[in-house]
Amino acid sequence: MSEAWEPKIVAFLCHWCSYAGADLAGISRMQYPPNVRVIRVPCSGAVNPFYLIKALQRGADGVLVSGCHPGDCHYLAGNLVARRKFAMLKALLEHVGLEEGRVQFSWVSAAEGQKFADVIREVTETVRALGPAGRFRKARRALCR
Amino acid sequence: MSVNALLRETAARLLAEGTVRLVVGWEKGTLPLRTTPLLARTAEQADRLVADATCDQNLAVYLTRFKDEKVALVARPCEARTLVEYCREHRASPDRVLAIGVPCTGMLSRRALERRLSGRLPAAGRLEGDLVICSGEDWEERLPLTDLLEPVCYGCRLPGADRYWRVLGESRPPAGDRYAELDRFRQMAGEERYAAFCRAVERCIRCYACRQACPMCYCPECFSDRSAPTWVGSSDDLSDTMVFHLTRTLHLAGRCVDCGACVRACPVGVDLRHLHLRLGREAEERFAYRPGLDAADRPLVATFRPDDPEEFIR
Repeated sequence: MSEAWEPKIVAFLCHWCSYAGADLAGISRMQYPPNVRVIRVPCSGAVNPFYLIKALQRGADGVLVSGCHPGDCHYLAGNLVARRKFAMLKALLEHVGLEEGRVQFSWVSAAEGQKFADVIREVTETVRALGPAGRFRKARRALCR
Repeated sequence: MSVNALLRETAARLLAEGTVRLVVGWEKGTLPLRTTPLLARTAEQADRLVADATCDQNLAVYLTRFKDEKVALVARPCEARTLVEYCREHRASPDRVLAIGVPCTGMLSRRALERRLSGRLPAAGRLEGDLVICSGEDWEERLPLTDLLEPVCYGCRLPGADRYWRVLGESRPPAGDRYAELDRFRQMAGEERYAAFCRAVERCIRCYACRQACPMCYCPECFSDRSAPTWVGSSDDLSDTMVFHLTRTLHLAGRCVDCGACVRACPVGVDLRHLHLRLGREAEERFAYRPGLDAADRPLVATFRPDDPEEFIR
């Protein structure tokens, strides 16, 4: 029995802004697609680019990293350093053939519940249009080992 | 005086005077047209030093082992660029390392020579001016060196003369477009690029020779060796090999000095230089940062500017 395919999206949300933004979207009863799996991290700067590669390898169809707006970082500059790392990561992954839109980045503050819902909607639709991820993915046979 | 004679004399004097305890250079290898690293501690040992187009390891890789000694490093532009990065990352201090600049006009490509000789193994070989002369039992070939240079040498970037302690001759690398290979790769569609990447990593046997040869891969424990947690899977699935290469490239973002040591060290001919070039170009175009040349205070991804471009962020 096969079910209709739904994109699986892993979202790394910073504890201080984007996670609170997601919380606000939730308590405000805003609707957004249930395709995201949220992972709370202390800061977008704490997201090792390796996590994104690994998420894609282990079956995510898309990955989102979201942090505080520049200047709002709880640790002062974590998101600004992250911005450089992610620019490099995105350039590299797309260079070796990852479809544009599989990895995405956003700034969402704790007050932007609506923006969070919008970002999730947009990311989900982009990934849905791209279809199931095939590249960089580990074969199921190998996953079982 | 030839470069080799000048180099030997300089090295012997430095060792005899006690200015340095160690000279890191190359000596003739056991196979024709090959060299091997030489760590010379006496003037007699220093007499074996050579520096020519057959030197193809990046010697700077040895510096991290001798952090507390005063060392002289035989340096071509590759080594000099590495030294800039080492100083930035506090792997070497300029007052402990004397870079003896030797002229470089490009490295002899072992692979290009093998291809040119189509399977014949030379029993003897030497360089004569711009000629590579190699011979077997019943044959001799005289080939122009300019046809057999490493791709990485074209458009080599020379660090400033102030990077060296002394310069024994002027480097004249072959002119060319450093990004030619990258541009070829980028012209392909995403699907083809992925297929080409798969074909390259399919051959990889994960011997980590690239990592060992790389002067910037000096971590005492590499992410790929970690077992708790296991960052890189040990299965033969292609994706695990991809994870290794992609992550290694990212760890070298804004640090790779484009010496090509990884490509030359690979026993199965995996050439992923374009990955490093891609990030090198990104560093240059996006952040105006050129690894190995500009002596900024902080490594590229350890710092930021408030106005870094962020057009890719929602």
